[in-house]
Amino acid sequence: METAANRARPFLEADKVSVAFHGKAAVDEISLTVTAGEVVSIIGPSGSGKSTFLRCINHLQVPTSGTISVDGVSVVDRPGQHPKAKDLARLRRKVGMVFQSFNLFPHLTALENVTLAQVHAMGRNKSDAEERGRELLAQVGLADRANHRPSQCSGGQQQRIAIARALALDPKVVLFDEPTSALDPELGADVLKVMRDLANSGMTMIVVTHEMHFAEDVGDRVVFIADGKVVEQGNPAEVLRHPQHERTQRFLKAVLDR
Amino acid sequence: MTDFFHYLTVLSSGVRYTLELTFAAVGLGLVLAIPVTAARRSSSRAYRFLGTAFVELLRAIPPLPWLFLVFFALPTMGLTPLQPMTAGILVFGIISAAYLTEIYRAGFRAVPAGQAEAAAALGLGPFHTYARILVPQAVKTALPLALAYFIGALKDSAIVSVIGVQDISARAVAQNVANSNGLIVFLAAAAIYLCLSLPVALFGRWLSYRLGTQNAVRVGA
Repeated sequence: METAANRARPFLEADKVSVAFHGKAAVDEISLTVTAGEVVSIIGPSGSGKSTFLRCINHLQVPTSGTISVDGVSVVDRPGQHPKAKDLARLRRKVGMVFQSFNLFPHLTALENVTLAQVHAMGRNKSDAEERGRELLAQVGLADRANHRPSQCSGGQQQRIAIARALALDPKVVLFDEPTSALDPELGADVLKVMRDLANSGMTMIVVTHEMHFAEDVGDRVVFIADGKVVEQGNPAEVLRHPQHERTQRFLKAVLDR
Repeated sequence: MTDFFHYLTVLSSGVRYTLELTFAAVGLGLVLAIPVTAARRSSSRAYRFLGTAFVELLRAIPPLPWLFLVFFALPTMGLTPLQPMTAGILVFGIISAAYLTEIYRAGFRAVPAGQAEAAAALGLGPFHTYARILVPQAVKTALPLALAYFIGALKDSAIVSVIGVQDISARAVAQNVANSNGLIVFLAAAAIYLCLSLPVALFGRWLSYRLGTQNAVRVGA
């Protein structure tokens, strides 16, 4: 499956993506190329636009300008164009998303959370969806929580259910928006372990995070964003240990000296 | 005291009309409010304007002028006069659609934005997003409010007596004119309204308590 050629092919391409809120640029011409199987960590100060950029990739945030294509699918040819529902559905089938605040459906059980979109977005039949759902819950270590509501699970368990839910559609890439920021460190560790396993299985991942250990150990590349721009990117160990840019140095010093 | 019970029996024959009118009108409103809510939540500016105009126009004018307009004014424009009951159901139904639209909207606003985002990220279409994710959660906020509105409608329905619907109030007015026993007659009417409203109010209180505690989110471990 994973040949050298496959790996080198740009799988996801963001070209000069900008997002302006009330005329002020939150994301300022960010370009990013991700190859299949790559794990890219996006780090940077709060309010730097890193989450906003991430949300552009599956069109939860509509870019003001710039284009994005994922595995050959781009929902708009020119900025400001209204995407077709069919194209949007095709894009979102390829892109899974994990949110900072989990966003599990509180009125459904863990298993229902994981099966719902398989049935209603993918058209899988119910028993196949449940089988896949149980498999994924087992994969994230929560086979025994299948019939619990999210409110009956800990934060770390909820986030792992959310990861299982994102994987249920067999996405080609998974976006993580600060997946451990709402968790205390101990609970976050279980989530990071699931993400590490996922990365090792060859999943393409883009992770907005403040977890520097994860970025260094698991990531193939670190992208540092400040004030809506990519300031520096490269091999995690190099960027995190020998940052070239002054802004990166200042940020990492503040993070690592805590 | 015997007078009081006598009037209770006489006025009770109006209960049927009061209930019929309220149920039919609120039922109509519950259905009509769906497209109006959709318009108010639409991304199209024109639909939003129409929805807002509908709601504000109906709420800004009291029910009585609406009732007279439909019952007395429309026939002068060459339209077939409506039966009093039909006119009452139509007017109260449309007015309740306006109020119920606001109740539906409050229900949807109470659902965190992350729910619709998660549904969108999973590729769910608008139908399944509403049917499976948003409506089941919005109902928990909207249902107690809708029940409170129902009680209000039940009591406000009394004004249809002025166009001749033989409801509780119409019968009370007739008894008062015939017997000049206003105090007892209207106390009897009040007692009947109380008996109708109070159980619904208590049910509503129980329901909002249940919905509230059942969904209290235990955050963390």
